[in-house]
Amino acid sequence: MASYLLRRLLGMLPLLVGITIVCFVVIHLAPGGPTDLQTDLNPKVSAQARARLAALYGLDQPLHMQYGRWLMQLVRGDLGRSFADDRPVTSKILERIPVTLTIELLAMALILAVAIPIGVTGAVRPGSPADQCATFVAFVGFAMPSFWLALMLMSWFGVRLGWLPISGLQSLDYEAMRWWERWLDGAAHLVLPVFVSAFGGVAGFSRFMRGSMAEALRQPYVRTAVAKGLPASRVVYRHALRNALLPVVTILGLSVPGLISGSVIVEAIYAIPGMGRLYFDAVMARDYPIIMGVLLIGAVLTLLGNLLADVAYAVVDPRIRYE
Amino acid sequence: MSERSRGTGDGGRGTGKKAGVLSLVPCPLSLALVHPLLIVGALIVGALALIAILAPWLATYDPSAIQLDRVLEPPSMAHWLGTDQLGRDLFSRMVYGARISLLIGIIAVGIATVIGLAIGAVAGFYGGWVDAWLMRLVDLMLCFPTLFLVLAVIAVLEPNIVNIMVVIGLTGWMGVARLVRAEVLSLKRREFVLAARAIGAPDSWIIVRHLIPNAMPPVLVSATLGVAGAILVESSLSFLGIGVQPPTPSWGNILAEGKEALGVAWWLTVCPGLAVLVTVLGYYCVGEGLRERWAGR
Repeated sequence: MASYLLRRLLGMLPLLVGITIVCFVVIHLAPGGPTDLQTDLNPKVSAQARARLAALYGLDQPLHMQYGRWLMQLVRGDLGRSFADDRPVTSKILERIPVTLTIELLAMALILAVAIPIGVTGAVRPGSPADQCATFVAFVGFAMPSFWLALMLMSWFGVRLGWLPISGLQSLDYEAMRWWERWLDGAAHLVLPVFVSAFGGVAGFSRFMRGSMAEALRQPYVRTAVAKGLPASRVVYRHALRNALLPVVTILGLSVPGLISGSVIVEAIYAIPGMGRLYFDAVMARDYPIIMGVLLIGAVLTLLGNLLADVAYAVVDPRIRYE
Repeated sequence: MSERSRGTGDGGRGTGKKAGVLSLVPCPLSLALVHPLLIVGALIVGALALIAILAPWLATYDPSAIQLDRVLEPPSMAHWLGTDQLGRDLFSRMVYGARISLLIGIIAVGIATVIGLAIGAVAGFYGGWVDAWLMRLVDLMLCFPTLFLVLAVIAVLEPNIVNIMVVIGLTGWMGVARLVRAEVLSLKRREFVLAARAIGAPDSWIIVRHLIPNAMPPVLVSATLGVAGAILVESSLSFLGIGVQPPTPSWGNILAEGKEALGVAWWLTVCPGLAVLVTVLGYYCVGEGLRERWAGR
């Protein structure tokens, strides 16, 4: 197991290097260079000042030197400083990650809790009204623009009905609350973002689950279980479902990039101080060090998601060997 | 049908075997004729294409004509979908927005498909280190959450229509490449390819005339689904203010502007959102319908 993990981690190294190259290249696509934005709008900046600024960021050196320099800093955990407030990018990102992670993990849990029963029902009784209804909802779920869903829910539950808070993670009087009120307040703020994050995923996942379950139900061991007279529920839940859940592990890992992408929209709309919001603000302000940093972290998180999925698959499925 | 597809045990088509999974109306005959999803989808997609093409004749007003005495009017006979904060006619703006959204969606997917076809075919055909490197490139690109990458590039460049199309295209080819590679891998050992080789056809001829045309069905499915995805990305970008820039109307930026009047003018947010939903749904139905149809062959 340990050697398998080690080999997988080593195998990720070339991809990691590739990721850093892509991040670096994307930022240097900027016509004129990343510091232009700081200087362009300011007529008082002289040519010397501009050159000094370029030297400060190492922009007067050839590209491969710049990349090497950036990579050396990166290895030491230094992602540079934000243009906006001159704080280290690393700490700005690190303080945001828990928020995004909480929302996305809750969304994932919600997806599983809803999609698995839907998928199983559909596979067990294909063509039933429940199945057709679920299929229809899945289609709409795929097509639903998440930003629109977020906006509609916000205007309905937040503004019109006034049931749920519409932005941020805490109410204004959070400090004055007792511990259980704080807990409730936090939960209320999470309802809409988690729901919107999970919505599209439920559609995809329930369909996947349905397919996987239908496949499992066709297997010989299910026929055997039925033939020896086991009750239907036992066949479905003990024999088929357990096997149908195996590929779900992989899909969970593969859904990481989608969830991260979605966090930008959800967090931008609900004003949640997470990584997506940080990224959105950085993009709007062209805060290149932050953009580079979050892009890098997003890709690394995706890579880790894939790794976790592979390892988890090897753990839950004894047929997979660590070779 | 089931006998044969089961017999081949072809991994790439495994998902297609679950025929009937998606049919809203269980109708055994429909698989042989035209899948009902395909009909629904084609109607939506066709109607949208007509709307986009005929926009100048359908629009009842100039989409950018500002009428400050008719601000935020609800839907009426004069303004079918009402007016926005500047008194512009929403219906006309939506109709022109359809043009932008479809144009970006289709061209972006066109770019992605061409890149994916080229990379997938070359990787599958030559194999070896070419294949290894190209597939590592695919893995690498798949590490980036799409919207993140698109946002980064758009932030660095200008958010104009051409850039948006190119960026969505450049970040969306990986699925096609994998698909084409898998198809080519199985096709290149077939007799007609061997025959072409035997008569001395050059590699490029074999790839372009024999392999790619035969790999087209799954590619068309993924391209149709891709248009749906690209329209979603474009409208998300425009909604966030980093996509199509006003005053050019796109469904995303109409929504973004309408958001400011969320409490007083529901039509400004409901209409463009529904338009995106229905459009994506339409392309989705066509894609899934085609998949079902070809899977049932």
